[in-house]
Amino acid sequence: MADFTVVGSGASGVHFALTALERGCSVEMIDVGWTPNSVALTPDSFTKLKETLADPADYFLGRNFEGVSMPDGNPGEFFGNPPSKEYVFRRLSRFEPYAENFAPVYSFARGGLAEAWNGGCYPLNEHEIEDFLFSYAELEPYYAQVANRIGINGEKDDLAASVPWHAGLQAPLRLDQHSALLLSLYRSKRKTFQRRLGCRIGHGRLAVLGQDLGGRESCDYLGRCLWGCPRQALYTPSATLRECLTNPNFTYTDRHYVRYFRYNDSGRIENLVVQPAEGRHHREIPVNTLVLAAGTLGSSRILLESVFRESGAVIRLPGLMANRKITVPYLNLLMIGKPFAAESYQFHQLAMGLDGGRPKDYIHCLITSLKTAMIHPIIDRFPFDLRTSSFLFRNLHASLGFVDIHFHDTRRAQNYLTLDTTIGDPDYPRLKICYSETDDNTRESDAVLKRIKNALLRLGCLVIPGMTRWYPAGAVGQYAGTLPITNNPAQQWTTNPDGRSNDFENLCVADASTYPFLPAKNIAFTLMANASRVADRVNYSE
Amino acid sequence: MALGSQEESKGALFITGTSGFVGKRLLRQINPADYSRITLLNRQRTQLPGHLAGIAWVRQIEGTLKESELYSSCLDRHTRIIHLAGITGKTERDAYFETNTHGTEQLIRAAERAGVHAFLFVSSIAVSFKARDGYHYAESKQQAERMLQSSRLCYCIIRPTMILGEGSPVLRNLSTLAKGPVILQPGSGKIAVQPIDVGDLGKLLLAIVAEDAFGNNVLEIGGPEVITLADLLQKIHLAHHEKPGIVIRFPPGLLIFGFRILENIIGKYLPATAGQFASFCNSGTIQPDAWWSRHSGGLKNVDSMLAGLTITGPSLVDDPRARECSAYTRYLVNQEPDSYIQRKYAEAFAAGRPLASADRCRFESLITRISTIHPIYTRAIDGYCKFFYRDSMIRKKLVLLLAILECSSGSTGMIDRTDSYGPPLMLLTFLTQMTRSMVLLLIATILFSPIRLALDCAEWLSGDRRG
Repeated sequence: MADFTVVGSGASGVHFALTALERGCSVEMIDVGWTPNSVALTPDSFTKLKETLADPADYFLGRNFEGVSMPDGNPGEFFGNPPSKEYVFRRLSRFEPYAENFAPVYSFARGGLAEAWNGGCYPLNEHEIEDFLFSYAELEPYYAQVANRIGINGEKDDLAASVPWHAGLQAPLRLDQHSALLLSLYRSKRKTFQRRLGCRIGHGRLAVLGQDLGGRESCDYLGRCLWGCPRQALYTPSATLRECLTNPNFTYTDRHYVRYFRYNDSGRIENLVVQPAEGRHHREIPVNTLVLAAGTLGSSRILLESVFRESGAVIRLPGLMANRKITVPYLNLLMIGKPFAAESYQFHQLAMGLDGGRPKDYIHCLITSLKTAMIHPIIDRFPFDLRTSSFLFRNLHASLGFVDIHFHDTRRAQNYLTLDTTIGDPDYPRLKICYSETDDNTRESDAVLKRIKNALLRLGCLVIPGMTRWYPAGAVGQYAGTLPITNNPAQQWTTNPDGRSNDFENLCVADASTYPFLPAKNIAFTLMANASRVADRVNYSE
Repeated sequence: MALGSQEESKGALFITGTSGFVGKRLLRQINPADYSRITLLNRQRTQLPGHLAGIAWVRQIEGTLKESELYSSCLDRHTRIIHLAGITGKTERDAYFETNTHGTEQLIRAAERAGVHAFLFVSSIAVSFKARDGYHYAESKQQAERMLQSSRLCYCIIRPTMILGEGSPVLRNLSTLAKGPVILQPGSGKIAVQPIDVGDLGKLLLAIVAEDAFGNNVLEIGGPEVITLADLLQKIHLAHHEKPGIVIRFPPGLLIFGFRILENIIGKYLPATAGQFASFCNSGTIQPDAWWSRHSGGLKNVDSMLAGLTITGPSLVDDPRARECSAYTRYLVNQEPDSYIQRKYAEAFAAGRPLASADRCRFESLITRISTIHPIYTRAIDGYCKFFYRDSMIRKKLVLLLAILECSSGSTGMIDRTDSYGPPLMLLTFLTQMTRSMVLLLIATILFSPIRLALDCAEWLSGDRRG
């Protein structure tokens, strides 16, 4: 029996595992672990790939042309997920959650949802972490540790006022012309931006290698980040999983789905019930310490079903949080008619922070200039025939960009997770997600949009009318808060600041379920750092 | 670039215009091991055939003939040039001379400066036509020939006859005349033609290079068989029908006269120029010489060319998908689809995209048929669908094709490469484009709205609506 049985191979799971392994413990990881079917591994640029691949449409659009965004479909993302990332979102129909007014995003992929992320690594500051019952100083060494492990680049600029500067960061990537122009304009009007708009712009903090690290090579600006970097310069958690696999104390059981755990009367977990991802025969795995790292939805569902199996009770886990996101496409007037940068890091290279009412209400924005992308969905959205739209697009390509605005969320009792045992197969009770937004959310979004438009205007950019996209609740894929940290051990379905469950003596939660507050920033980096911290704490107490 | 003696003996190849009909086929026939370096000059990067992809000494340059600074460093005394690039088909008079004459002149000057080994210029049999008044394509080629002849270069000019084979633009035009139940025949049909297969032409071009047959000469190159235009149209008809077609003759002279008048008024909207009809008034055969006689053995005859076409490639005439693909590609990127685009478009329908392969109602069927006639109609219908018929199949087909085109290196540049205008000219061009788009939308709206209403009503009354 391993010292730790970790559920899930996402950002939290792999960093918990690696830290535990480094401390000399043994780890067994249970995971569905879908993997990609095929990836073009030739180190060609996005443009060159269209020449060298025997069937480029097969790669970019998929064998069944599933990558084609038809006019009747949803407006879609600027960066819709390509066929090569289909495995990240491949689901298990038996475990499909039931949700109203909520668009859950989760992954069963090897490496989890961050296999299709944009590389943003933004540490939380002391204000954002104030409800966590541990200090920023306690987390900072783990930010540095993870930065050294995965390779993060950034620059100590104005953004550091909201995004703490920590050790282990590499020099920033080369900016594309569009991003460099925006940054220089901001710097020339810095005082206006900061005083009048409460806005700071700086280099993005990106999990992309500026220099080789382990078996991964530095970024060569191939423009293929979305489709899968052949040099693995853009970090994904599967790289850490590969590192774990080289350790003899690590066992990886993939293609298995964790249903629930069995516990005794004293609240000690004894066995984990798993079943093959594509089968129905259960089996039980004895556990020493169970570590839930399957994401807020996954970990909560395991706990809910475990309680249901043992006691027959359908409980609620209140306080579900989810980030809201708005995407604002814009046109940079100073870039019109210029060629776009095909050989460049593809995702955002700049980040923008807006002050909120309180320091922890900070609003986090990512500024992405449009570079390589599948362009037919964009051309289709222009209000002309395709010939005119194509003409317009190819001359505006370099001047197009978009700002992703992310908002924080707080725990509210009316937003909760529970099980629905009344529908579908009774042997597979479904996770039920109940979430609603408040009017305050809408008012806040409107006010922020005005500030963003104002800031963009000062950077020579016009917001394109009619193209702003408000994402449905849950669509960002960042959730938290259902097993929150508390200093009251008597409170049910909670954890202590070290990730220990207050209800089960040998249960540890390493993902965002424990967060009592969901900041606006991408939390993947904090997930990694906190999982390492939890692994250290659990290890010592063992 | 310094070359070793072995490399020198192989020599370098510099080819222009490999994205065209002849160029694409030629690329498939080149053995890269025969050359120390192969450089391809195209306006847009093209999809290389598998045997050339990834080879270090095969390089593509994206640029025009006039941008000699881009390619002059690739020319040296070991280089043989095969110059295929040129404007064909229907375009404005100045465009022919801009590319075919002045573009060739730039290449000749760059070649002279570099002291290239030899220059193979692919001209046209149309240069030898006696009656070619207003045939700007032939005139532009003839002027280019003269420039080459007066240069210091060692050259060979070849004048191929009508070129057939998969994707042949000439064959597509002839099929338009012969595909239906009746054959529309220009004049008496007694004009002699001597078609050559595109694959055979490629072989002969490479043979000239391999044999170093650059004797400052002009070679007329055709296939092994001389037949009348009437016979050729009948053969094309028989490739699609079981019985010979009834022939309806029309006087080409009258057509040329009519087109010449209309050209000055609505030239942009005509499917051809008056000059292009010169082929129906001139014999398109060659004056055989010793070199051609030595190499003509084994060249395909007309039946083989047509048989190969109907067996191996999708027929534009019979296959509605191929017809759509051709028309829509010309609309979207102003060029003919290559076989890859055709194949992917067909595969998408086989895979169930876009959703249903059948056009859903009478109105949809009607506008689909109209949209394949000419790119201008496609544009009008596309604009109409964008605003008034959002869930139309045509719009989905166009978006599907756009997605395929952006994946192919041969066409992605047409969609996603910034035009070399400054912002003022770009704005002007955009306004022109938008005006054209709006005018077409207005016409389409006036024309199609009542038709759609009537057809929808008729279907509703008859309960015949399927979709």
